[in-house]
Amino acid sequence: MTTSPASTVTAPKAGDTPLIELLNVTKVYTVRAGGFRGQGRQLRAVDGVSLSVPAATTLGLVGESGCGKTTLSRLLLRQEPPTTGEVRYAGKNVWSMGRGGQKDFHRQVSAVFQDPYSSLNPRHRVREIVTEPLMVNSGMSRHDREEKLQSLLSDVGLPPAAAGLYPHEFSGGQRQRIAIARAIALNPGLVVLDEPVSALDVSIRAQILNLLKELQERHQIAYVFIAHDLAAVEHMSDQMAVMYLGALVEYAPVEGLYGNPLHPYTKALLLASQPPQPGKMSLEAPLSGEVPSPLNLPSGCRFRTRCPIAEARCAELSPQLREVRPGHYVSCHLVN
Amino acid sequence: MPPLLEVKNLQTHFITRSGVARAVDGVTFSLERGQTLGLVGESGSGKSVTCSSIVRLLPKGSGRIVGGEVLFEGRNLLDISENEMRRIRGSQISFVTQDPMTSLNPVYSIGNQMEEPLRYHQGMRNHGQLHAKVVEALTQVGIPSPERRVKDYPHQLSGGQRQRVVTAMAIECQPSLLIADEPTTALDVTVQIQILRLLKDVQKELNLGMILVTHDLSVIARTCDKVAVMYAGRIVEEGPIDEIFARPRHPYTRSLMRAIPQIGRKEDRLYSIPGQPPDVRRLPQGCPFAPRCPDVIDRCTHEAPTEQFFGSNHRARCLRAEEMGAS
Repeated sequence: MTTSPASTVTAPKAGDTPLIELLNVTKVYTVRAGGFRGQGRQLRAVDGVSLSVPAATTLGLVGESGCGKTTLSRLLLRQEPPTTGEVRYAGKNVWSMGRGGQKDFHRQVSAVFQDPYSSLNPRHRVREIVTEPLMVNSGMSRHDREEKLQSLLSDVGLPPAAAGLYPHEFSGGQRQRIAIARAIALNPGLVVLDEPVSALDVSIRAQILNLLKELQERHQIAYVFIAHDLAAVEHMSDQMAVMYLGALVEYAPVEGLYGNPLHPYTKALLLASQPPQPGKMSLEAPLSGEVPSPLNLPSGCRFRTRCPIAEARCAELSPQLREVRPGHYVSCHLVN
Repeated sequence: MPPLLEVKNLQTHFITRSGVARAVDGVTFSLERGQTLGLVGESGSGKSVTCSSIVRLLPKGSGRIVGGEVLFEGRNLLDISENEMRRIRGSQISFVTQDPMTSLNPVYSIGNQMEEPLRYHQGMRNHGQLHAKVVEALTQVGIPSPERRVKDYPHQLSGGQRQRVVTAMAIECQPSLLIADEPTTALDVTVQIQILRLLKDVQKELNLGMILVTHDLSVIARTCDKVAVMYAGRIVEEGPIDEIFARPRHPYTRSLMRAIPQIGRKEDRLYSIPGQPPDVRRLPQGCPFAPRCPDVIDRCTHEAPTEQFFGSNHRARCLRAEEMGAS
């Protein structure tokens, strides 16, 4: 099990207090395997993860299916309590807040999801979708809300007339703009972006990424940007975390991670994400096999079954996340 | 000898309540055995409809092929009877689709559904023979311990393995044309390359013609010999892959290549194509890409561009294609 002492992971920029922090967080689900009478088995969806996001910066989070990205976003959004460890917002444990504190938290943290076709209520007009958070969480008058609505629509590049239309009247990219307007309605400190452009056409993705960046600069929002497109993550992020089967395998400032990736998994992901160049791209897969089941984790290092450089000791001892260069953490026995 | 597949001026329309959607509007291309054609474009550009039109699998009622020819080994597939078509589908022309979970039947074992094309197309009845053939096909696509896997159900396999099974099923009857519609989109990045490799290996072995539909230019760059870029139901540019990547002549192709974020390319803002994909029920006069085109001139808004040829096999549908190649 990879457990890193929480104290070893510090905020990346000196002097910045992190806006949101995960301190050695583990989330275990019990699943019934082998039908209804089967024994409950433990699934460690997130295993000993420590991360921190300073205000107005972006943490990119990458990994393949089953790596715990979705569970992590649920932990960050306080939709799920951690089994052990702590989630802190502005220094406070989000699970020991009073009602007022909780309400405040939900005002401060919002999310944009992958699929703008299913994340917007088809029976509500854009006006209701975008102003719903304002009605619930602010004492704004109807007139003020309408004003705020118009400024939000112009913020995300939609015409004022959009307010009276339904989601189905918009294309995918425009729907994602509606979802973004709703997410920033209460001036949040943090927005969790869970694959916000994966469902969109290639020609539209750059528009939405540019918009998100603009909004971050204008409103000083912090993002946790979950994605599988490494080039988009590089463009958007200040720091980046790579996850594999629930654990962090590498965590570093973006320049360090792309300029000098250390973990063999990160290297493989980067190899698989080369820019398109006919004739120069190999069909040799950088990794063999597929991600093993999280119900049946390999002994020792969880990546060893696919690792091109694994040695005998990798099967025995689980590597710890350690700082190999200032701010650059990696969990691999074979990295010096 | 005629080419393996020749599509000529194919037109497929969908009748909807809000008008006629010209989903495929005069598509022409050809494919030889052993060749791979990449079909790129955004959603609604007509790439999938082109493929379903080739095998005549359009949704009943609304979709209709209204013109053109689909010549498969010289024979027009649009003229033959449904019975004859059924004998071609799954044997001479086969399909690999995006989501292997939906193209496999969840209540039949892998072996059971893999035997079906052999029974139907080759009249094979002998159990031992069928079993041997299925195991052989699974071995060919790199499924470990195939004798055990034949008894498994689709949900017991991983995404990559399911896509291998679908590929095995597609090649069982020795087709000559394989249509792969976004075969790797639903898979993890490290598994995507494994499946592309598999498709290329299978292609080589059977000397297959392959049409690969994707929105991912790096998939195209890895696997294709030539590429056709579709926009609003038409091929706006087609050519050999090196040509298209080195000297794209249509502003849409050029924009698409610039709009992909690339690792190590430090930019403050990503280049983006303005506007939204067009609605094929209400196309503007002139060039359909004109409202989003960075190189638009006055003529584009009222004059529909015709195809211009550059060399024998590179063509682009743009009034300014000539100048575009120069810059």
